[in-house]
Amino acid sequence: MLIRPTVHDLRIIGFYLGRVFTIVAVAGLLPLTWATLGREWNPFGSFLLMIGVFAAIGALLIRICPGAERLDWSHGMVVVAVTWLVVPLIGAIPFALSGHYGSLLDAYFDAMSGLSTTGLSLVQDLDHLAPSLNFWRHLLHFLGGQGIVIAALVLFAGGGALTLYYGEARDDRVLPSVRSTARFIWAVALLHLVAGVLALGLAAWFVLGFTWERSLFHGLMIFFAGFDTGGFTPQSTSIGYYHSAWFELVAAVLMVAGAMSFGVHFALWWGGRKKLLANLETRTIVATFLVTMALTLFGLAAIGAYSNVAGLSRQGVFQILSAHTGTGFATVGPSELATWGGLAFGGLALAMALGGMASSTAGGVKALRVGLTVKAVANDVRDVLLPERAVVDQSYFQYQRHWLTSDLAKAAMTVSLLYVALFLIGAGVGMAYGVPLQDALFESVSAGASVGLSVGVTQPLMPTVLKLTYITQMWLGRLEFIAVFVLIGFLWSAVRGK
Amino acid sequence: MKGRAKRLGKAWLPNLEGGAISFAIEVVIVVLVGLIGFAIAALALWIF
Repeated sequence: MLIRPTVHDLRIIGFYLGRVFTIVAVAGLLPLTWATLGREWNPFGSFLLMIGVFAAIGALLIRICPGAERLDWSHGMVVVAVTWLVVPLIGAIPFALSGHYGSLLDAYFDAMSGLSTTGLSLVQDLDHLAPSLNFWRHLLHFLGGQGIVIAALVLFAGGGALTLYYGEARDDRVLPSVRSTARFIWAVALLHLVAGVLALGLAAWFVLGFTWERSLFHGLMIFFAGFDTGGFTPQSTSIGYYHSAWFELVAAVLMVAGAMSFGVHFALWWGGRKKLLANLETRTIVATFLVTMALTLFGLAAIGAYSNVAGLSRQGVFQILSAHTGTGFATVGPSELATWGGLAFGGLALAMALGGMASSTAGGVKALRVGLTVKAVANDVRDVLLPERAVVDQSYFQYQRHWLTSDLAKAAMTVSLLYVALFLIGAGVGMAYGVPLQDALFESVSAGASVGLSVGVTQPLMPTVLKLTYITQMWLGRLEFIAVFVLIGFLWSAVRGK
Repeated sequence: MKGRAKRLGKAWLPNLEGGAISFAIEVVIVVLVGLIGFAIAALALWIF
C-alpha cells in the first residue's frame, strides 16, 4: 500500500529547498559582481533577475514551511532530485536572455550540463560570450561538483543531514560527522583552487603570453571545469585552444584530483597512503585505465591517426584521462574525434562509461562498483571450480577488510545495469533520429556518464526530443538514479496513495 | 596527529604540508600516466 505524503512532509521538503535556493541566490552574487566590475550591463540585469527569483522562492519556502525538522531518507532524496531539476531552470535565466542560445530549452540544457558537471553545450558563438556569463557557466560546475547540498551542510547542518549527503550520490564519510566531512571536501577544493589557478595562470602568462587578467580568468575557468570534472571551457575549441603541453599537464592533474574520492584525498592529506595501494577501488581504476588507454592508443595507431609517438601519446593520453575522469576536456575537435573509429572509439567510450571513483564528482558506473562486480563474479566462478567443501574468501579490502555480501554485490550490479540501460536508451533515441550507431552510443554515454566529450551530435539544431533525452540522462547519471526514483515514487504516492 | 584530528573532527582544517604532498602525488600520477602512455604509443606504432 502506498502512503500519501502529508502537508507536514511537504513542509519539511519545502524548508530545505528554500535553504538550497537561498544559497544559490548568494552564489549568484559572484557573477553579478563580475558583471559589475566588467561593466557588462545586460548580463548584470539578467543576473539580478535570477538572484531575485532564487531569493524570492527561497524566502517564500522558508516562510511558509517554518521549522527545521529531521529529514528522513525520502525527504532528503526528494530535496536533492528537485534541486537538480529546478536550480538549472532558474540558473538558465542569464543564458536565455544572453542571445547566445536558440531557445529556453538550449539554455536549460547548458545549465543542467553545468550543474551535473557534464560539459556538453548548446551555446552559440561561445568565443564572444560575455566573461560574466562564462564565469556563471563554470561556477555551475563548481556548485554542482562541490555540491550545493554540501554547502548547505557546512553552513547549517541540521538533523538528517546524512540523507542529503547520500542523495547527492556521495557515500564516503571520512570524518566522524557529515558536517566535518563536508568541511573537509571544501578545504580540499580550496587548496586545489589556489594551487590550480596559480599553476594554470602562470602557464597562461609565461608560456602563452596572456595578460595577467586573462591568465587569471582562464585559470579560474579551467580550474572549475577540471577539478569538478565538468568540461566547459571559455573557448569553443576546448583545451586545444591553448596548444600548450604545460596547460594540458596542469589540467590533467586537476582532472585526476577531481576523479579521486574524498577518502583518497583524506589519505593523501593526512597519511595512510600505503592502504590506498591495497584498496579494491584503486586497483580497479588503475587496471581499467591501463586497459582503456592501451585500447585507445593501439586503435589510433591501427587507423594511422598519428604517425609519431609524441603526437599519439599526447593526444591519446589526454583524451583518455579526460574520458575516464568524466571531465570532457578535449584537445581534438568533435569532427576529428568522430574519425577515431574501431578500437580507439571502444576504448574511449568504455573509459567514459566506467568513470572515476565513488564519492567524487566523476560520473559513470564508478570503479568501486566495477571492482565489486568483477570480484563477485570471480568468487562465483571459484565456488563452482573448487571442491564443495572449500570455502571461498568473500572479503575485499577498501581501507579495511569488508565482507562482500550478496546484497552488496546485487546493489553494485543493479546500478551498473541501470547505467547500461541509460546508455542504450539514449543511443536508441539518437538512432531513431538518424544518428549512426557509433556516434549515438558515444554521445549517449557522454551525457549519461557526465563526461561531455562530443563527436558533434550535440549541437543547437539537434531534435528537441534528443535534447530532452540528454537532459534526463545528465540528471539521472549525476544523481545515480536513486534520488530520482524516490522523487518519482513520492509523486506517484501523492496521486495513488491513501 | 591524524588520529587526534580525526577524533576531534578537526581534520578538515588546513594542513599545508599534507596538501602539498597530496598535490605532488597527483602530479607524479599524471607524469607516470604520461610515461606509460608514451611507452604504449611507441609499442603500438612499432607494431602497426
